Amino acid sequence: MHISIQTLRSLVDLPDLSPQELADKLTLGGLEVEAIQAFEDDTILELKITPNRPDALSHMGIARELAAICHTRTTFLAPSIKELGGSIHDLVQISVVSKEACPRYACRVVEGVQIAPSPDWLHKKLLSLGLKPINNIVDVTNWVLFERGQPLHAFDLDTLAKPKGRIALKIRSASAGEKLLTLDGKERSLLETDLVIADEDKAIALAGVMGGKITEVSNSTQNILLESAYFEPRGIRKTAKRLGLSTDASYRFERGTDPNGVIAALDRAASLIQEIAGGRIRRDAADVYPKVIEPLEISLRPHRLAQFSGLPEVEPAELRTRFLALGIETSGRAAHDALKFRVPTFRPDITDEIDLIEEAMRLIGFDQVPARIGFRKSLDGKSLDVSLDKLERHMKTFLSQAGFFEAINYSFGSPTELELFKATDLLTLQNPLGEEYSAMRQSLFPGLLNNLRHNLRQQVQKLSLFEAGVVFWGKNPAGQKPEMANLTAHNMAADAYAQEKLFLAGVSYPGDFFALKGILESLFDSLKVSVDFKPLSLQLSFLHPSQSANIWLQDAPLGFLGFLHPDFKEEASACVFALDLDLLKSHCFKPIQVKPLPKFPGIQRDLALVVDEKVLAGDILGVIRNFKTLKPILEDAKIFDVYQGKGIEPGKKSIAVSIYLRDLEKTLTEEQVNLPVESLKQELNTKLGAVLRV
Amino acid sequence: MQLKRLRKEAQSGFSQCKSSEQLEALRVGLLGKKGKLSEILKQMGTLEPEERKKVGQEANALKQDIEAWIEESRVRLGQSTKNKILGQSLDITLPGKKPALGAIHPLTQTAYEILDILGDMGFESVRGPEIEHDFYNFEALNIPPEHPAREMQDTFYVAPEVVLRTQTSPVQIRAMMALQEVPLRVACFGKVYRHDQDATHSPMFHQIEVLCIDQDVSFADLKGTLTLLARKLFSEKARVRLRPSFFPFTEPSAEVDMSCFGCDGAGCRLCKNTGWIEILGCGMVHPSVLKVAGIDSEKNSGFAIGMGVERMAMLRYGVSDIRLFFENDIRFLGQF
Ligand SMILES: [Zn+2]
Repeated sequence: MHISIQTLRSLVDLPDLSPQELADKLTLGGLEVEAIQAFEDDTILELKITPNRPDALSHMGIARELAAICHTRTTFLAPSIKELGGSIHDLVQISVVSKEACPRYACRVVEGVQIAPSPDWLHKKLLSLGLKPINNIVDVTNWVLFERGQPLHAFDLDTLAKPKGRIALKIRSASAGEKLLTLDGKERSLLETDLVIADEDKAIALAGVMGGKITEVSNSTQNILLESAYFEPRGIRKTAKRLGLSTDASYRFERGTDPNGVIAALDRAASLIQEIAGGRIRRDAADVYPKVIEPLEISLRPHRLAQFSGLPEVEPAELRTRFLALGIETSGRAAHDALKFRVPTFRPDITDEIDLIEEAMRLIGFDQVPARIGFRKSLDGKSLDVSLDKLERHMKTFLSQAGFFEAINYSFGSPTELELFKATDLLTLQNPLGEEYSAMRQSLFPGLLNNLRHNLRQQVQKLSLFEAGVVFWGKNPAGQKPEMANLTAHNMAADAYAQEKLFLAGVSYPGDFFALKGILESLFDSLKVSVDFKPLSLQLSFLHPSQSANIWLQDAPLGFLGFLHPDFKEEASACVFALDLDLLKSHCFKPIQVKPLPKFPGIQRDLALVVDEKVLAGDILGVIRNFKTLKPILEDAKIFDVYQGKGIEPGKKSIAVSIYLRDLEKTLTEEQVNLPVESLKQELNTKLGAVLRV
Repeated sequence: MQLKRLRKEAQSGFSQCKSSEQLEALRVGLLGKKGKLSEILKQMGTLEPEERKKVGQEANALKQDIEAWIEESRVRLGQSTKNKILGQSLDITLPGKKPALGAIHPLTQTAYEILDILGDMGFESVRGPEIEHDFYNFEALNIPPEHPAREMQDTFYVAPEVVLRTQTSPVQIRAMMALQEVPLRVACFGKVYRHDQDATHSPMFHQIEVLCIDQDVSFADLKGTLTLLARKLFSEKARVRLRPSFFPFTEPSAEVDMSCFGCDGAGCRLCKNTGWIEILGCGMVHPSVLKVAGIDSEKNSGFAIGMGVERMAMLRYGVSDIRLFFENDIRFLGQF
């Protein structure tokens, strides 16, 4: 909002401050000045007013603030009015049908005006505020809005229906489908939730938002009906939002104007019109205000202010003086040392003690509050589950030290790209930024592969990336209304509606399956978690069917690892992996229990086994590890060589495995070892057809 | 006689010995199970007692000498090996064999640093869902439907009343409702979404939400916490300035400026000559928000801080285009 310093000076006794100093005072008072511009001999401040302060959307509002900040006083003049002729009641009758939406409606009639361009002073004022001068009548209504914050509207009186010589104004809901041509020349189709001003025949204005075209003040206008009203903010906002219309009027009404400032603004505008455009103001104002909105009385406990702010306790006398500058008057003494204040209706943001505390702190200055840390340090033994954060951080640190760069991509992507990665129950946005951002991701790969392509285009030849992020499933695709939440778990997401899981995925290019598997194995070792890599059994169509593995954590699928499917062409030489961190979380960081160091020497036995080439190394290790006779003394078993070629029958391969045996209680003897190892050979032969290589 | 000959032979053997392998062969040849000295000792049983005593003494003396010579030779040989090794040199200017090194994303690094500072102050890390109910994202935070504050945040909808969270503040409500007890000190780092996209706005960005609730927590505590945070994160000399502002769920609310770390407040390009840099928003938790969460607002009070991680990272690393964070270009990521 634009504020003219010249106008401000006419409304408040300001000390001799430069525009910058004034701006700083306002900014530190919570009315942020974003820019200062010269306009002819005036200076214009551009303010950003927060939505809770409709009272500050005018010169008088800002003047009041400055009076409080600078310990000075405002010099507002009460408007005086010279009435002439018959009463308005002989000509206009108002009936407010929608009493809730329109608590107050008032108007005046000015007859015999001369439509002309505004005088220089008004012309300049409007230009300086970034407004377009139109004619002396419209300009006055606009100017009074910027002066006092009360939106006004002028109708050409002679365009209103006047059966039996009387105008019957109705403030009512629009009927569904009712049409109104607004001032901007657009025909609006209205709903029952919209409020209109109407004469006998038709809607003449969209209440609080925009006037109608037909009743607009034109060059031939002679008589005007001037409206000043208080509309309920929510209704105005709904209409303005639905129609995508934000006017100076609707902007103020939807934030809350002063119901008790309606007449002063009306009189001010009427007398200004008379002064500039001539004419006679009819006697009386029509004013429908059945239920007067009274100022609120609110108590403030000075000790609560001190406690809450950390400021030393403020003397009641000082508080009273400070508040009075803002128009907040003392209203006797409440119980228990509390002070009672009467809050003017132009401050709809002040409804509770906390609001008065804020005002007091704002006036005293946030800079007066000391900086200290007085809160208790301990959490009294209460602790939250932080294992997911710990796990995520551990993995990021580990992978970054293993050569991976962390990527961060948008959580929404293209449904087509996501479909490539086996999407089910994709959750889509109702108002996406575009088709390519319309589905919540269910896989981290579309993002990572885009990153890979981007980097390959920059002549990068080798690249490893990972990303940790939430992936989403719709749980309620029928679109039923979600139920309220269970409040503790992280992944209950929008509860009944969506499921969120934290995944970590990576891509390594060009891919080296065993290098990547090795990194993951070390990672799991570092987490003290044991997992199984097994040939793909879960259908993952985007992976190479025979160069990929499912990773199992006990009986649950933890993730996968492998080459991309050749369908991916260029990226198919990349190896990828993905892990479910929510699942992994509950299995790692278990407390460590140290095993005693072995007191007795162990024995190592190496076996070279010839098997069919389809037999997997993992099968051999599985048989060894599960072989009961050997179990009590089996410490470890490792593959150390795989061989195919000369000396081995075609279709077969030789796998060499080391078996480490140890008895924790005593030194193993050859006899103790020989027998079980012999029967292990038998077992390997029975189960896998393995024979010793000779 | 045999012994004398053997002594001479051994002496010259040791003096000519050139390597540890030769030395070992000599040792085995003399003292081993089948060595010459051992053979002589074995034959002693055939001698007369007088003779046996004499030969025994002589053989023992020789054995001791041989052991001494072995030791001497070892030292001599060791020194020559050492000298040989010392004679070899490396071109230490040749490149090392580096293990591949990646990096944690600058946004994550910044967030972790902030969380660690907060962690030292007793704030525990919590999470919340990214798909939120209107209730948690707006209503419980004092933003009813049709409230003008909703205009400050353009919202992505998944379904009526189901949104992509526009802020991490709903985690405040969830944390309070879940714990119900004071003291409560949590920090939440996470993604948030707004319907907005240009050089300074990304439709997805990151926030850290800080919440402290206890008996008698005051605005002064908030100021103290912010000062500490700014000093640890940016500069020991940092000062903070709080300006009254408006957020529906805090009162009073404040925008926080930090003295410019580029010029220490004197004015420079970084701070557009104001000496101050806006870093975050905060305030005292609104009593009605405490009420919604079932916390007695007469007995307890607290503050909340919400900061944009991108903003912090851009300031720290001198990044001017927010989109760089989401392009994941290795030439950018490789600098962290
Ligand atoms: Zn600076």
